[in-house]
Amino acid sequence: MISYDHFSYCYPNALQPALPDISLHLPEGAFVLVIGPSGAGKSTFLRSLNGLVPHFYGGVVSGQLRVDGRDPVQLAPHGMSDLVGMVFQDPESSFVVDRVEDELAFALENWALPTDVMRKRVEEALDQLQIAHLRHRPISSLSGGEKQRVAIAAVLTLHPDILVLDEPTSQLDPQAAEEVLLAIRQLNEDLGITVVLSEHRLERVVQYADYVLYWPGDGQAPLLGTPSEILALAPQTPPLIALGKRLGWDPLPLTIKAGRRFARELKPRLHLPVIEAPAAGNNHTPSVQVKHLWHRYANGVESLRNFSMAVHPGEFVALMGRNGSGKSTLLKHLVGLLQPARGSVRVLGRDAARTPTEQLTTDIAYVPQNPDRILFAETVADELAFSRKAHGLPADAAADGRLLRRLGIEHLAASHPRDLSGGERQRLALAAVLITDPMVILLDEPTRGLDYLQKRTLATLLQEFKAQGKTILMATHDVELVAATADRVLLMAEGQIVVDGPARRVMSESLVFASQVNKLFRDPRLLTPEDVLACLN
Amino acid sequence: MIPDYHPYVWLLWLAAAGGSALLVRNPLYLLIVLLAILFVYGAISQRQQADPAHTPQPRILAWRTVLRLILFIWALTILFNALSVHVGTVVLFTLPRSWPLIGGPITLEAIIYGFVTGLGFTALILAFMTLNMAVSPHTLLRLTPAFAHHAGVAVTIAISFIPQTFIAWQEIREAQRLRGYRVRGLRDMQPLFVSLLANGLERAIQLAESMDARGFGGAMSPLGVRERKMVGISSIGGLLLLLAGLILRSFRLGAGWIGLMGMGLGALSVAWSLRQQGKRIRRSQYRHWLWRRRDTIVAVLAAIVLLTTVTVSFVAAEQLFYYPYPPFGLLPAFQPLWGGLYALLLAPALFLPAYLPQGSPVHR
Repeated sequence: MISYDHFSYCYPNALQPALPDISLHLPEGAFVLVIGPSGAGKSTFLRSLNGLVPHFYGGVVSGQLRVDGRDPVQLAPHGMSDLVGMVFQDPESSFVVDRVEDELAFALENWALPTDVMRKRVEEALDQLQIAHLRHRPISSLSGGEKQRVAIAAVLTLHPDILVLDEPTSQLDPQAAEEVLLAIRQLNEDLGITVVLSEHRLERVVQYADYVLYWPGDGQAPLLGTPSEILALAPQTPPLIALGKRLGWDPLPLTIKAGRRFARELKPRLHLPVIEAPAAGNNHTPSVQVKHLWHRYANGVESLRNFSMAVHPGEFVALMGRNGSGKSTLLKHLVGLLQPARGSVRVLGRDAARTPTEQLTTDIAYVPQNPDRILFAETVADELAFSRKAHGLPADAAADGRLLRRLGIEHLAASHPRDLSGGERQRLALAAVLITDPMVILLDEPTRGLDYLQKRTLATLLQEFKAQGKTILMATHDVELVAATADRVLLMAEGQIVVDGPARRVMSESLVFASQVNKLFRDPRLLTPEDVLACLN
Repeated sequence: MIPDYHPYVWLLWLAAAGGSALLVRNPLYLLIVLLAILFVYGAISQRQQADPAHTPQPRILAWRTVLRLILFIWALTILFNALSVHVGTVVLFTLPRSWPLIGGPITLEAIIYGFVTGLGFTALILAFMTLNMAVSPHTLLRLTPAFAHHAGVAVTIAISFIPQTFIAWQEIREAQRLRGYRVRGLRDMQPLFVSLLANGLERAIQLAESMDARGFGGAMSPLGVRERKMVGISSIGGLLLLLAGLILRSFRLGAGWIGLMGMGLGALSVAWSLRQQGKRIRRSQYRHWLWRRRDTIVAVLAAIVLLTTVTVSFVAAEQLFYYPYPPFGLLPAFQPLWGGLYALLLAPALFLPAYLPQGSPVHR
C-alpha cells in the first residue's frame, strides 16, 4: 500500500535531512501508530504521504515513494486528496467554512462530483462518525471532540483508502479522545481504511495498533514492527509498559487487561505502606482562596457556579474534568484576567478582582494552554530580559542564565523561541513567568504536545518548586502527570467541584481519571511505576 | 442555517434596502427604510431563536461593537458637517473666524444634514448585518460565478480571519499582561503586532495545508495555446476599449454614442474572457435552493422598491430629495405614496414562515 524506497527529504536551508533514507512498507488495511520524541520527524513523515512534503514546504527529495501505486511527489496534495485523507493536530485551523455539513461537502465540490453523489457521501460520513445531529451546527459551537470528528468526516467524504492523523487527540480530554479513537478504529476495522496516526500519549492508542513506526530522532532511520517489538526497544513508553519492562514481564502487556495477570502475581510480593490517616487541617493562611465564585460568559454559558476552594502554601493541586468544565476559567480568575460575576478571589492575600494582572503576576506565575502566546522576543535570552523589564527589575544576565540552566534550556539562549521544540517552549514560557520568583504557579494543560521524556522533566521540575514551598495549581487531562506530581485533585464538572480530595484517593476511586498503574492494582498506594518499584524493595 | 428565502432574494432585498439608504435623502423616508430593516432584522433573529436546534451564526463583528461603530460614525458625521459647513439661518453659536476651517457659525441646518447622512449610513450597515444573519458567507460564496470562485474562497477566509484576529489580539494582550507588560505608548505595541502576525501566518499555513490536502484548486482544466491567446487578447483589448470609452465620455470627445459603444464592447469582451476562464474551473454545488412562492413575492416587492428608487433618482430626484440649507426649508416633505413604497422593504418579515424542522429537503 505505502512503500518508501531509500526516500529522503531535507527542508530548505536545513543541514540534516528531516527524513533520512527511509525504506519501509506499510501493508493495506493496517493501523500504524507513529511514535517518537518531539522533533524526530513524525509530522514530516505524515506530510510526505500526500505530497504536502515537499510541495508545500519546498526542499530536496530523493529516492522513491509510492502510495497505492501513485507518486505523491509528482501528483501533489490535490492529486492525492482522493486517496489520502489528512487530519491535522488542530482541527480548528483546518476548517474552511462555518457549517458542519458544508465543511463535509467542501472536498467534494473541489472534485466537482455530481450533487447526488455528494449527498450520499455526506450522509455516509455523518453516520460513520456519528455526527448527523451536528449537521446544521456552526463549527465554532462544537466541543473539541466533535470538531475532531467533523475534521475526520470532512476528509472521509472523498472515500480515501488511507487516513493520516497527526496527533488527533492532543487537545482532548480522556473521554473525547476515547470517542475519536473508537471512531478511527471502526473505520479501520469495518471499512478497511489504512490508518497512519501519530500520538504522544501511547496509553490512549497503542492497543488499537497493528504496527508501530518508531522515529528515534537524531537523524536515525525509523523502526517498524509490532507494538510489542517496538515498545520493548523504545525508551519512551506509557507507564504500564515501562513497569512491564522494568519487571521483565513477557509478553509485554499493551493493555490493562493483559497486565492484570502480572499484577495479580506481583501483588503478594509488594510491601505496601500503611495508609496514613489524613493530616490535620492546614493552619496556614491559604495562598489561594476562592469563595462562592460565579462566572458567566457573554454567550450566557455559566462556566463557574458557586465555586469555593482554598489552597495552602506548598500544596500541589490538579484541576481535572472534561473540556469546558471551568478549569481554565478558574485559573484566569486567579490572575485577574476574568472578573467574577459574584463571589471573591483572593491570592496571597490580595483581591484578584481589584488588583491589576500586571501587578498580580509579580507573585503569581501563569502559563496558558498555548505557551507560544506568551513568547514575543527574538531570542530565548531576550524573553527573560523582556520579563525583567516588564516587571521593572534590573537586567541580570547571570540570574537569567541560572534559571535557564535549571530548566535545561541554557544552551538555547541564542535561539529563536519559535525554533524550539514543544517541551522547550513550555519550559521557556515557564522561565519567562518565573523570573520574579513567584510563590504561586498556575499551569493550564502543561503537557500538551510533550513526549514522555519532556513530561518527566517537567514533573521533576514541578516537584522541585513544590519542595520550595510554592503553591501549584495545574489544570490538566494528563492523568499520568497528576499521578506523578499532585497531592490533591479537584474534579470539576459544569463549573462546580464534584470531588475534592487527596490525589491517591480521588484517582483510585475514579474510572476515567485513574492512572494506568492504578487501574492495574486498584490501590491508592500504587499510582506510578515508581510506587510499585518502591514497594518491591 | 436554514435559509428563510432564496439567497438571491436576500441579495435583491439588500440591493433595494441599501440602494434606498444611499439614494434617498428625505429623512422621513430614510427613517421608514431604517425601521423596515430593523423590523426584518428582529423577525429573522426571533425566528432563529425559535428554532430549538439553532445556534447563532458567527458574526463578523459583535452586535454591540457594530452599534458602537454606528454611533461613533454618526456622531462624527454630525460633528464634521457642523464644523465644516457654516451655511444656514438658524445659528446656534459661532466659533472664532480666525480658527482655520472650523471657525464660523455653527448652524442647525448643518447638524441636521449631518444627522440625515448618518441615518442613511446606519440603514446601510443594518441592511448588511441583516444579510449576514440571514445568509452565511459560504452560501454567498456559492453564488459567485465560476471565474471568481477562488477569489471568493479567499474573501470568505479573509472574513473569517477578522474575528479570529480579534480573539488572537485579546489573547496576546492577556499574555502580555501575564508577563507584567504594560502598553503605555505606540512603541510598546510592537511585540503585540509581531506576535499577532506570527500567529496569523501560522494559522494561514495550517489552513492552506488543509485546503490543499482536500483538493482545493486542483480541478482546473488547462487552456489550449490558442484559447489562452484569445483570452489574453480579449481581456486586454476589452479593458483598453472600456478605458477609451470612458475617456471619450468624460472629456466629451466626439459623439456621445461612440464612447458608450466603446464601453459596451469593452465590457462584453472582458465578460467573454472571464466566462472562458470560468469554464476551466470544474466545481459542483452541494446545495441547491428551491424557489418558492414567497420568494417571488418578496423578490417582486424588493425589485419595485429598487427600480422605482433608481428611476426616480434619475428622472425626478426632487421627490426623494432633502436639503435643509436655504433657500429650502428645514422641514422635509412627506408623501404617503413614497412612505408606502419604502414600507415594502418589510416584506421579508411579513412573509416569513415559522421555523422549519431541521433537515427538511427544502433547504437544499
